Amino acid sequence: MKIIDYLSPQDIVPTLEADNLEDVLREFAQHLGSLKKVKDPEKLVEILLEREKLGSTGIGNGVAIPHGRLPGLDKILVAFGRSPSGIDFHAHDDQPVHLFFLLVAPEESAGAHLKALARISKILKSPDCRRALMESANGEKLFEVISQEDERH
Amino acid sequence: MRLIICGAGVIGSNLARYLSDEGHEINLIEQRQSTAKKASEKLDVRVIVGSATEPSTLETAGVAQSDMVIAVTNTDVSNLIICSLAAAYGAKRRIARVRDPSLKDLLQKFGMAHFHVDEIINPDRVAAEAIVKVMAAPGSREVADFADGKVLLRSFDIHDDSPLVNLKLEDLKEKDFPWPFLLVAINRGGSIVIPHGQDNIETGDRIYTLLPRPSLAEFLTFVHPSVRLPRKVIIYGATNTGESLAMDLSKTVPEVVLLEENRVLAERVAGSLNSVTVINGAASEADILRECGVEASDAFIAVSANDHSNLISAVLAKKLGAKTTVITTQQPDYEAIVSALDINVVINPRLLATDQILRLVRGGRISTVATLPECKAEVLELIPEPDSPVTKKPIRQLKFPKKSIIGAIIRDSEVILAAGDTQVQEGEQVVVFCQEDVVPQVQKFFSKRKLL
Repeated sequence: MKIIDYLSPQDIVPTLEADNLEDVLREFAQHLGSLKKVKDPEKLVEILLEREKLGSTGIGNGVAIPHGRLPGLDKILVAFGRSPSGIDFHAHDDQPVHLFFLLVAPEESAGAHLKALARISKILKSPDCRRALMESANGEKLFEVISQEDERH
Repeated sequence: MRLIICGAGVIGSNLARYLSDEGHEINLIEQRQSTAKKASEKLDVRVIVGSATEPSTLETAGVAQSDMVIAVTNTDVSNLIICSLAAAYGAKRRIARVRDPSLKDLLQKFGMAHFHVDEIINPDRVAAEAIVKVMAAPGSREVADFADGKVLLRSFDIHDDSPLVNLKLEDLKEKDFPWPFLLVAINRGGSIVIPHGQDNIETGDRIYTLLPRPSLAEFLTFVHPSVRLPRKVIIYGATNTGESLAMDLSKTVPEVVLLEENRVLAERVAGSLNSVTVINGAASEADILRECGVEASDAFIAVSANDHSNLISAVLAKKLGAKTTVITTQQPDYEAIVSALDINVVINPRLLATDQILRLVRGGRISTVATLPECKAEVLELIPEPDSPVTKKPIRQLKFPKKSIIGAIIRDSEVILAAGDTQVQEGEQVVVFCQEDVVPQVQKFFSKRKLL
């Protein structure tokens, strides 16, 4: 699977305004709400928060993949956001998180869900990609970097 | 090794069985004639009838030449006296079971050497720790941690709402998945399968999974998509376990209720546990359980000293709406009954204490053991010796015993889940799942002595 099958330029938030974990999740949920991709953004916040309470989705190197399963969804949703100042996301390496990939999957999809998470993690493993994402000037550039990296693998 | 075990209760007789199977020379001392008789019928060890606090009994058991004395009678004070006597006779190492928390505090204050004890084992404390782990992993049935908590073993029952149902194992393998896990065994209707890529996960399976610690949360969502941490927990019984559990859980669970039948005891704990609601009443009464708010509780944990009350109250609590039920039981035989009832987790403090003592006895190269009685299996953490067979070839070529699997390896403090092409190196911590009857064979792979 490819990330760009699910991600379009409008799903990208180049500068997240939130300064804490819960607000980041809310900012993402509201963004998806404004795009009419999610009916009830607060429900999504609740699901994402519940997942963070079980254990952080911060995977280290300033990257987090907050995600959850939303009942009633018909396909996977992906969004990307960047926090220039970094957010304490309780990542296991204790580093603040700058790069966020949000993934929302339908309830029953274990296989696709797993593949999407693996794909995102693979793209963000490259230090060059992470640097490029930090340095991109705007949403279009960010989409370009993600698409290029997505094509390379 | 020459070992003396004092007390042929659940801990003592289980230890005797495991350790004699491993070729140790065991002297088992038991005061009660009937218990001693039962032990000598069931076990292939020398049983001495007498009090282990009597010097002459210890002499008969060969205390002066013993490598280790394990004092697990049902009296704390006797266990401490046994250790002191054993030290005076020259026994090399001494382990005592101590339950009374104030005695434990005393030992820590003055130093265990003062009492000639090398290690103390507290089954109540061990049980409380296990229950805390169960609460942090909703849906889990059995819990054990390895490699200083870096690797977790958790078992789960698979229901038809799990996204894992009908998936092939190989579909769950993704090289870059950020929260990897390894299924080491499936208990399917009583028979144990070590699963391979083509095997499916089915409704009704109990699966045993090894997880690097950061993977736990994600895996919980694979077992149950709408999993969440408990918000309200009811603990029944202000026992040592109940009290320490209430204290630990109140740090993470917003609402903790402690139910205790004995008024005086209830009042005492109410004074010492600030963020816990203490209610005085009987857990076998539906009205009392309703007063505790059982219908909105995520877990009902019965840890009173009475196995029957624990069982009955847990069944009742489940009927009244508790999502998960956990009980402690002192009798291993109880587990067969329990599995026929709707109880989620059974914790046997004495069997957990046995595991902990086994670790200490096996020592050095085996640092952690978890026994899984329901599937007659053990999970071991071993460190291969230089030149041992396990370090010579990739896992695929090892001819490792059937009914066993190398699960995880700690390399440079990173957790690696084993695959066919992984090669174990000397000095690494290795977590192995195996059925009881192949434990000695598995151990040989990790020792430099030649395979027999």
